[in-house]
Amino acid sequence: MHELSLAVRLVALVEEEASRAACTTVSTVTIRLGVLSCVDPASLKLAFLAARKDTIAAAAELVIESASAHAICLSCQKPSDVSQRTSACPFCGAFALVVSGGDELRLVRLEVV
Amino acid sequence: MCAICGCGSSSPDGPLHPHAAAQPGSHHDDHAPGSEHEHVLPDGTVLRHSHPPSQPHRPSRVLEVERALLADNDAQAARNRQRLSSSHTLVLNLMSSPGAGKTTLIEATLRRLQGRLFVTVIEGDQQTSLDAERVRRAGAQAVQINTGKACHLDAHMIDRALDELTLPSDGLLLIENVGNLVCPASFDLGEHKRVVIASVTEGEDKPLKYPDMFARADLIVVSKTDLLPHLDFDCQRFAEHARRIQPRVELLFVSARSGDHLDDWLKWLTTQHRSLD
Ligand SMILES: Nc1nc2c(ncn2[C@@H]2O[C@H](COP(=O)(O)OP(=O)(O)O)[C@@H](O)[C@H]2O)c(=O)[nH]1
Ligand SMILES: [Mg+2]
Ligand SMILES: [Zn+2]
Repeated sequence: MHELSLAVRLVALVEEEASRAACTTVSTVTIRLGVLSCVDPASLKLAFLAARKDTIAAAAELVIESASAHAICLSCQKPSDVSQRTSACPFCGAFALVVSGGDELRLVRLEVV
Repeated sequence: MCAICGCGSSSPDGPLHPHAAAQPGSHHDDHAPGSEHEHVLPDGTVLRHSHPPSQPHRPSRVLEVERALLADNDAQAARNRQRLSSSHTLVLNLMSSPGAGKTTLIEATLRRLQGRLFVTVIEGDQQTSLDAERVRRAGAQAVQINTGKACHLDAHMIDRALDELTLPSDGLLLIENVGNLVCPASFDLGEHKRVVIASVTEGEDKPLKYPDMFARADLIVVSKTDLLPHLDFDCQRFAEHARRIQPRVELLFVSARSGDHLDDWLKWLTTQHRSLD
């Protein structure tokens, strides 16, 4: 997977934001990860440990907030939240969910000094 | 050592040292570096600690930002799409596992089109230019991109490849992505439509095993149907699985070898090309 290149990209964004805010240390990096994005949180955390080396975020903790995905059932029309693309409708059991969202991958917050 | 204030706590977010709860202002603003001092947390816990003089206190602050990690790629993809739309070129991103028959389908498409549509092919593989040579022999203009260790094409690679090509207007650009059912799914290349190809020898459960790829497909082509008599592949079951992931997805069952249903594929292509306007 491409978690390492994403982590490198993430650290580059963090450095940009940190230098714009003229801070000296980044202590926490918070990202929002859609439950359906093709990213494995554990691998991303590992990759982040490698990517943060020798940067302003060298001691930063990576916090991953998960963002849900929404679905509408074509069979019973009811909305639901889904955490997997292979889910059945929780109301009627049909495999007829049209899914939206859940694929975001964003840097949302930095705690800095 | 705490990375924020330099005091003895090992984790910046450890239970005894809640920086986030202490901004702005309260936690450490009120004392000089180096002095031993006491904090009383909101829950009544009393903490005593000191800071080395070399690490004066500054309160931490929170920066709210909203930056998509793939924003660079997505912006480049949008530029690619605009560039190609303006020359009325239909762009398809063809994705599959290795060996599903992408190059063979492209060759068969070229033979069937017989020059009715100018076709350009961008070939993505980790190594070799074998596929570019194959489609050139079949009559297309082709560029090979070697991704090296990378497991997918991205929009910047397509931009560079486009610079090497002269695209006549009103043509077709086929991008053969690196054989992989995982990573290419996340990267918009600037295509108009995504075509995911799965061969009958891969089994009916591919959509369930790689849902992210199938969820983003505009068309699913099931290939090598000439092999069906030798297998117990059930087309109906495959379609059911694909529709679990995407209830309204379009499916075609074709054989580039025998030509079975290739007309449907060409009809789909032509329809997409016409609806570019
Ligand atoms: N029987 C049969 N074999 C096919 C068909 N399409 C491709 N193949 C074979 O499958 C192998 C891989 O095909 P190729 O087009 O190179 O796959 P790619 O890696 O997806 O580009 C080759 O040996 C092809 O001859 C088909 O429709 N029927
Ligand atoms: Mg190929
Ligand atoms: Zn339902």
